[in-house]
Amino acid sequence: MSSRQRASICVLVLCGLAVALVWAGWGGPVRATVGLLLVCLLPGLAMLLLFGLDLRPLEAFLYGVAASVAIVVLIGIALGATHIGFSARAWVTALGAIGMILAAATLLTSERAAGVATAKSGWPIFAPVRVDHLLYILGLCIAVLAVAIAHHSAVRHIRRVSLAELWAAKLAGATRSDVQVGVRNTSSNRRSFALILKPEGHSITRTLTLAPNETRVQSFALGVAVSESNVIVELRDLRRGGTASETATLVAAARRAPVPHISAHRKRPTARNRVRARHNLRRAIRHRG
Amino acid sequence: MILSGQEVTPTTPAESVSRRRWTPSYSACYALFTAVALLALALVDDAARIGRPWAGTVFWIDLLAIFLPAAWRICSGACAPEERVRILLILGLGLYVVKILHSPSQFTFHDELVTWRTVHDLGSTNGLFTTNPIVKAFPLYPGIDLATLAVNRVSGLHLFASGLILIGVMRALTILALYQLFRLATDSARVAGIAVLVYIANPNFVFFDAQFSYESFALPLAIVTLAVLARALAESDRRRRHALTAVALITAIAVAPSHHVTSYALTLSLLVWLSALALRRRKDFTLRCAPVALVAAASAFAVIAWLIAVGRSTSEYLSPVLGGASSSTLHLLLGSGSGKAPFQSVGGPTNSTLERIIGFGSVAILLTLLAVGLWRLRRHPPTNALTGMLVLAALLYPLTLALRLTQAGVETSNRASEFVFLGLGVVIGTVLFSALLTKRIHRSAAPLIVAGVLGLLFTGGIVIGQAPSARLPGPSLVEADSRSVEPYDLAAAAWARKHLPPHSRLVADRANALLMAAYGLQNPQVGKVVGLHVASVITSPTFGSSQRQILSQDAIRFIVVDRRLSKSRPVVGYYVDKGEPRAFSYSAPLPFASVTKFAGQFGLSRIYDNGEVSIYEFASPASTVRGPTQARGAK
Repeated sequence: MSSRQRASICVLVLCGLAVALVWAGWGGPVRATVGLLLVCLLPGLAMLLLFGLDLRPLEAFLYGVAASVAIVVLIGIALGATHIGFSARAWVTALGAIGMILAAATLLTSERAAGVATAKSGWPIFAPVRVDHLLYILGLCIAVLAVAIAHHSAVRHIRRVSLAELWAAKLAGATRSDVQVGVRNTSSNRRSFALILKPEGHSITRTLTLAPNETRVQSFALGVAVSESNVIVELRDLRRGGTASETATLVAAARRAPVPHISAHRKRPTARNRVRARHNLRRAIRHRG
Repeated sequence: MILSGQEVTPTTPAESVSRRRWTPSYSACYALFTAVALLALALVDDAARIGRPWAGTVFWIDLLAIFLPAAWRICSGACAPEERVRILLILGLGLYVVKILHSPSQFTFHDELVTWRTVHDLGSTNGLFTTNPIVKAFPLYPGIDLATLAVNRVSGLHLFASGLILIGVMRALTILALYQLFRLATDSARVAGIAVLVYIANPNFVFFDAQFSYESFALPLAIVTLAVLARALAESDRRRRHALTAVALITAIAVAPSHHVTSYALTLSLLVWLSALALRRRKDFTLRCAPVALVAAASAFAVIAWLIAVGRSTSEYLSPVLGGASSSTLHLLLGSGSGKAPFQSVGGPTNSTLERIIGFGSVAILLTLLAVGLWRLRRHPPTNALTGMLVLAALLYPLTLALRLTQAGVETSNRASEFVFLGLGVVIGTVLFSALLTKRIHRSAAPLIVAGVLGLLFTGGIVIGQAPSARLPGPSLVEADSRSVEPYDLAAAAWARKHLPPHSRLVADRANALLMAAYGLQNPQVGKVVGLHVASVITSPTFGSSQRQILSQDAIRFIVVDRRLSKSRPVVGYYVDKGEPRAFSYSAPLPFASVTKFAGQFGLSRIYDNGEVSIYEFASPASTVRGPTQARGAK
């Protein structure tokens, strides 16, 4: 069996494995590795094998990856244009089919094709040096460690900021007597807050203690209808010792009552209709308080 | 001939095999050294995030520690061909990791955020040609988006990891293709190595060309096309030549839907190459011309077909950029326009005196070496048409420098460098190789001197191509791209994605608009409405009838207000939109009233607040919205 046939079988097996893993819905590092190979290398490599290009490893990598990426772009355009979509199965089926068909064609034609002389391409090959391999692997591990440290540093920088979010979940319900606000503690520490609702001169205070990254929606059942004009919510960060501190004052203010919408009607506006419209308007204003 | 350098043959394999098994090679030691330097850079980035003043200096030392050993070894005569390729690959990938260390947990650069939004839209709609509220052209060239989706869906990796890996793979392709291209153009592996180092010194290589963006994806494909085609022309076997031409054909066609300017540059390069081949009138002209003609025709056809498919949107995007750059430069040269001082920054850190000297010095050295190289070409013309085509590209370099003298031309000049440096690599690489062979310099000192010159070019390139505020992470700045991606902004964008209707129209400052579009999946609005600047909603000290009219006419429902806008001037020169009235001329930060004017206004309800960033909901008087937005999924 020639190296070309062996390579084609490898391509065939890897393409099939990728298709099987995706269709079965399995994840993990195996799928990640095989999936990356399927997208970035296998279709182009299969094409090179079919052409009978006997290349050095780096040249095969260069042309194989470039051809694969180009094939992915063209396949993607086809998937989008035909409205098949970009699901995992669509991708893996298309790319896997191309890879397997090209590899199978290579296997079929390689028996008949004459041997291709190795052309002098001027590209170097790697000599098998054991110590070098160890150093490369060690270098790769240190580089990965560097990225991990940088990632940890970036995430720690984000978490270092003691951030709290306040938002209006519902400032006025159907009966205008219930108000809901959302609170989230986006920091790495457990924090206590005073949530103060101020509807029309009143003041209702709730104390909340939130774990890191905890979200809570707090409801206030006021018992009486309130207008939308003066619902103010404040969130204050409580320092240790129970002293209220306004280091993080968050305010959500409701808007005033919107202008009532008067629906248009097709009849000509007679005097009677005008009176009726005015009556409706007054009732709407009264109802909204 | 000047472009055919002399090779230094390595030691014979027979006597060195057993020694190489147990003695580490220079490239392996360099790989380990580079990894340790990257580890140190990760610690420097950590220090920079908390504002340590020494981080900037150590950053430069670290970068030079990665670059100079590679440059010295490649310039030295003891470097074997295989070692040269390995060192270049390690250098190229090491510099890519430099960019990853800058933003290791998410994309933060402008183009990356725009691309992120496009990828997300493509994946959710399962169709091509979505709309991007920030840059309309991005979805029209979905090459990188499709490839990223493919990696993400097939491998199951996170989208961020998929994008990083994809661009890393493209970076490896770039290095290998450049080496191949330069080696075939100069017929010398050593000159090719030096030429690749010159290309790495271009202002965009370390950061801009390493970002998750459509140009970073398309450019390697274009370079590979040229390299494969050059390889095909050098091939004597007909079958192999056809096979390599087929590879070049596929990659050339894939460039067209990946990036507009790159596809135009590739087509133009192929046509110039074809013309150069025709002018040489060789006996085997037809044989040599056929692959280039075929790929040029395919590239041109793909470009035209894609332009027809995407409509006029590309010209609507490119015309203001290119037209503005050329017209402002022309006006400056005729004396009727105003220029831009180099290294000028409205706000934020500026280049130190030494950095400015290095920046100017690198340009002066490039121009000098270019002049020397062109002078030598008079006596020794290029040996092949490919070299001639690349030399023509090098001639554009002085023109791109002129564009830097105007505000409108800076971006165009920056973007042009990755094309122009393909030619500069060949010309300057040849000159530097000649310097290595000259007898006027001591043999052992020559590689050190040439490596030093390359190091200067490399440092100067970063000084010119990357603003001081963007080289390292650090404390928050106002409108400073990656330095404005802060926890408050990210939290607001994440909240908007969860609680606001998707694709809602809103107005925000530049940094928050990017995050709202990318991570919040909203549609920020800019430009003019009924003759009024949308930016005035944010920048005006009062909220009056004009602002209400803008919000009503443009159907804007939300306003994102960042209180920090009043603390500093914008680093990029504007707060919201490049066309806002006082863009690039802010003498003071926005008044505090600009960020507090919304409180208590009729029709405005503050529905979100996190201490720095607030979101207001605007109820137009004509709308039937009666209540604030209902929270979805709040727990």
